[in-house]
This record gives sequence, C-alpha cells and structure tokens, in this order.
Amino acid sequence: MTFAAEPYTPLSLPITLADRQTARRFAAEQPNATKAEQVYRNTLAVLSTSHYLEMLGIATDPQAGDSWNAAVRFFADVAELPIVGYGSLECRPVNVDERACYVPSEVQEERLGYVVVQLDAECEAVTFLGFTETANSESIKINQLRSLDDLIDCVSRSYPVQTAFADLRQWLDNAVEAGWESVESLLTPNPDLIPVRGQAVAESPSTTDNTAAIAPVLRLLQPNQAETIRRHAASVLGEIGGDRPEVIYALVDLIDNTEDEETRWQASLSLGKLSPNHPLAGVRRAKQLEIAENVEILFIVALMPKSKGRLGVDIQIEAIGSTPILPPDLTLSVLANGVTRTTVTARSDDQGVGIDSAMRRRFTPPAGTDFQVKIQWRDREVIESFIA
Amino acid sequence: MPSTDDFHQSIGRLVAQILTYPPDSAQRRRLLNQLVRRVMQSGKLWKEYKPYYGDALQQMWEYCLTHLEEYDPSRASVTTWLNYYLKKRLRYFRDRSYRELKRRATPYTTSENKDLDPLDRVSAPEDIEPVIDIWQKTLKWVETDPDGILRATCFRKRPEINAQTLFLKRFPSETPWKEIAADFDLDEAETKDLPKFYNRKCLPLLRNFGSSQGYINS
Repeated sequence: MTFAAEPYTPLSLPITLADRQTARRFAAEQPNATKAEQVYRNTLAVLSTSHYLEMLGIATDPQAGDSWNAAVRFFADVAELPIVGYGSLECRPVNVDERACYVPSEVQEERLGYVVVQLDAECEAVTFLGFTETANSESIKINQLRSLDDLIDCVSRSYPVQTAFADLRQWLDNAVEAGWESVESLLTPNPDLIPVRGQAVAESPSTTDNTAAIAPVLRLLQPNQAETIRRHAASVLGEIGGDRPEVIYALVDLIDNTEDEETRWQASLSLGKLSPNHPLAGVRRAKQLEIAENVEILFIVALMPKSKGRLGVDIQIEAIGSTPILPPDLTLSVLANGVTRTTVTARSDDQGVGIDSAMRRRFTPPAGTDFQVKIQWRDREVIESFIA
Repeated sequence: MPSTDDFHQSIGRLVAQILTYPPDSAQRRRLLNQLVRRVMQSGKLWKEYKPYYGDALQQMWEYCLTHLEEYDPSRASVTTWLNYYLKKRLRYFRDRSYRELKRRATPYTTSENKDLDPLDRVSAPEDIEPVIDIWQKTLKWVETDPDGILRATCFRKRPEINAQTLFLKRFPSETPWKEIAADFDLDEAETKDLPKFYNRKCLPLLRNFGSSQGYINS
C-alpha cells in the first residue's frame, strides 16, 4: 500500500425516486427550461445533502430554507439547507468533470459553508465532492475543497479529548488503565523474541523446567559477550527465566552495570515479566489505534525505573497489518505544558512511498509531571495524557 | 489488499469505536462518515437494479446509523446486519409498487416494453394551472408593488436601483450581476455590494410574500 498515491475517494450515493419527484415538482413551476433545470438540480443537491447529514445524526430542515419558498426560488439561484441549531449550508450542484463550482453572488453570505455535490449525467447519483467554509468569488475550485469531516466539525459539538491521565506509577504496580494491553496479546509473533542458539530456547514455555536451558543463556550475559548478544539473552530470559533468584540477580546486575541504554531497557522489561514487583522492573503496554481508514498502528509505552525516583519513558509506534509501513508524514510528538518537547515524522522515498515501520522517542520526565503524546496523520490526531 | 476477514474485523472495530462517542459529537459523526464510505466502496452491500434501490438504501442507512447500538457483533458481521435491513426496505418498496400497479390501469407497460418505474407515475404533478399561477402571481406582485415596499427598498440613495428593478432583472431571465452593475454604472465596491444588498434587503421581502401566500412547499 502506498499511502501517498492513495487518492481520497469521495462518497457516492444513488438519488432517491422521492427526491427526483420533489425536484420535478419544483421545476414544473418554472417559466422556462433553463430555470427549471436550475431548480431541479438545486433541489436534488439540497435533498441529497440533507439525507446524508441525517444519516450522520445531523438534523436538517430543508423546508425552512429559501429553496422551499417558491417565491424566493424564482428570484434567486439558491440551494439552501438549514441545519437545525447552526445556520444554513449552501449545496451547490456540479456536473461530472467540472473543475470549478459556480456560487451565485446572492448566496455568498450568511452561510455556514458550501457543500459541492456532483450530479451524474442522468441525475441518478450524487457524489459529495467536499466542503468549504467561505466563497469569496463566484467560483470555487473543486481541487481546493476540504473533506466532509470539516463540515461535520462545523455542525457538531466538539467534546474535549478525554483528558483522563494514565498514571504510569500505577503501571509499575500492575494497575493499568483499561484499553492498555500487553504487547504480546496484540502482536504475534513477538519480534523481541529472537531465537538464540537451539530449539530448547525458542520453544520452552516458562512453566516447564528450564534449568538446563537457562544456564547457557545466563553465560551470554557476561561482560565479555557482544552487547547485542547480552541484549538478546536478556530478552530470552524474560520468556523462559521464571521467578528464579539467579536469573533475577543476573538481570539486576545487567541493569546496574551495562553501559548500554538499550540493554538496560531490555533487562528491565524482562525483569518486569519475571518479577513484576521488583523495584527495577519495567513494564510495557500497548494500544491498537486506527489512525485512518485501513491504517492501524500499535502505540506502545514502556517504562523503566531510574535513579532519584524518575521513570524512563519509551514511546513507540509500530505499523501493523499486511503491509507494516507507517504512512509518510505520520507524526509522533511529546508535549509538556502545551509545548512540543520532541517530535518524529515517518519518512517516504522519492516516490512518496513510506519507508519506516516504527518510530520511537525516549525521555525521562521529572517525577510527578504530566506529558501528552500526540499521534497525528493528515487531519486526524490522537492525544493521550500521562503522569510520570 | 486486505482480506475479507480483515475488512469485517476492521469495520466491526469501527462500529465499536463509534458507540463510545455521544451522538452529537464530531468524533462519532466523522467515524460514521468513514463507515458509510468504507462500506459503500467495499461493494459488500446487497445490490438490486430496481428504480427504488436508492430510496431503500437511504432508508436503511438512516435507520441503521441512528440505531447502531442494536447491532450485535456476536450474531453477524456489520455488512450482514446492514443487508438485512436493506432487503427489508427493498421488499417494502417492491410490495408498494405492486400495489400501485394493481390499482392503476396499465397502459404504460403494455404500450412500451421498457421497464418503467411504477413510482414515477404515482403522483403526476398537481394541476398545471395553480403551478403557473405561482410565478405569475409572484411576478405580478413584483410588477405592481401594491404596498410600495419594493420601490422603497433602494440601494445607496439610488431610487432607480430598488428591490423591484432588481427582481425584474433577475427573473424570469437571470441577468448576470456584472451586467446589472454596468447598466447602473456602479463602481467596483458598489458592484460587490449589490448582490449583498439583494440578499440582505430584497430577498426577505420575497420570503415574506411567499410565506403569506402559502408558497412554502411541504
């Protein structure tokens, strides 16, 4: 899937017989064919938009508008759709392949905005091309229209984003807010579990006796081993180590003595799996988010206790699904006190095809402070708040 | 391309997500908008080439989207649930058109083999007389201006540019605003203001006339 090349396909719906009857009735009142055609198309545009908004739960009242007043309809090229409690929309019809939409001067005022509705040649289907709040001339360019989501925002209540803070210290006590799950339950197979040397390691569930398997893995934690080997060994111990004193001791020793931040994270998270209540135990939880149509990501938060009562925080987003690539321009930001502290954006190649499968930010906020994580793509954003 | 299972799961999750937001929230409506687009574009809705298909579809969507909480994910996929209501509406329209056909004589279908839409013939427009009456009466009111209110509504101390003259330039033939402005020798700012004047001061007079005459459609 190449996100950049994927065009937004506007919604099409068939025009109802009932609407065509109404439009014909209005058109039949007109003194000439040109005016009749105009009234016919305007009426279809208003009724189709009305139905669509009603489907979304937006109450409309076409009868209260100028398009339902026969006298006004003669003297103005009007397609007014009153939205209950908000004001009026103007629903302008265009033909297939028209690149601009005509907005008569007399309807350029006192409107919440303009919906551009394409009627097919037989007036049997409508396509909602888009929305704009202002019309400063008699012509609106189709390719500059915004999506209907903008219209929805204009005529809906805006509820504040849920500002319930996730208390990360509670996470360390295994009290995790609803909606956050273990990464393993959301993501299989676990990419962190990289088989190291021999099938016994890769297959053993932690409940069986792993004594024979553990000893060689423990040796891989020694300082003379390559750092990547030590890190993998720490990861494996998280799976097979059980609550054994020698494993706990080895992981704590690794946390205390490694120079490598990555290894320390891995050791702390493994410790968290084996002995969740250990003071150095880390924790990792994830949430699946649908950032746009067919664009699902995993939002992962990992924590590691640090010195002076502070928490290391690791924020990661990972692409999931059949093509695990993050859409280009997807942005991950961390905010504190309303100010963006750190941000990272998914990249694309020369063809605009996404190339990143994951993004991460690590930081250590002052104890007791709150921060927000914002995930943004195009006009969608998800904000989650945390207390460190 | 995502598989069918992926599609059903993803749509199911979308519905679950929609139900977490209040009905008048922008969040819920944006997701509903997404749901309609995705389902319509998936091609997974039941299709029948009947003239009333659009009516049935519209009624199905309006009912289902405003009763989403009735959807039971343990019983069927979202599209199966939607199709159940769609077929129900289609049955209703089919039965109705049979009844209409039975009630009426059927010269239409015998004289022409084309599959004519029975509903198209149900309500012939009201008598043509009163229909023409509306625009003639309205035009007469504009021309005579019995209360003098149209002529008294003028543009910027220019008595010759008033609601009556403007109405007559816009109907029955729609003289473009630029042409009207040129006729009256207006400068650029005035040219811009003239349609606003028409909208703010003139159309309300017509609106009142239309209401007083009962020219509001139902």
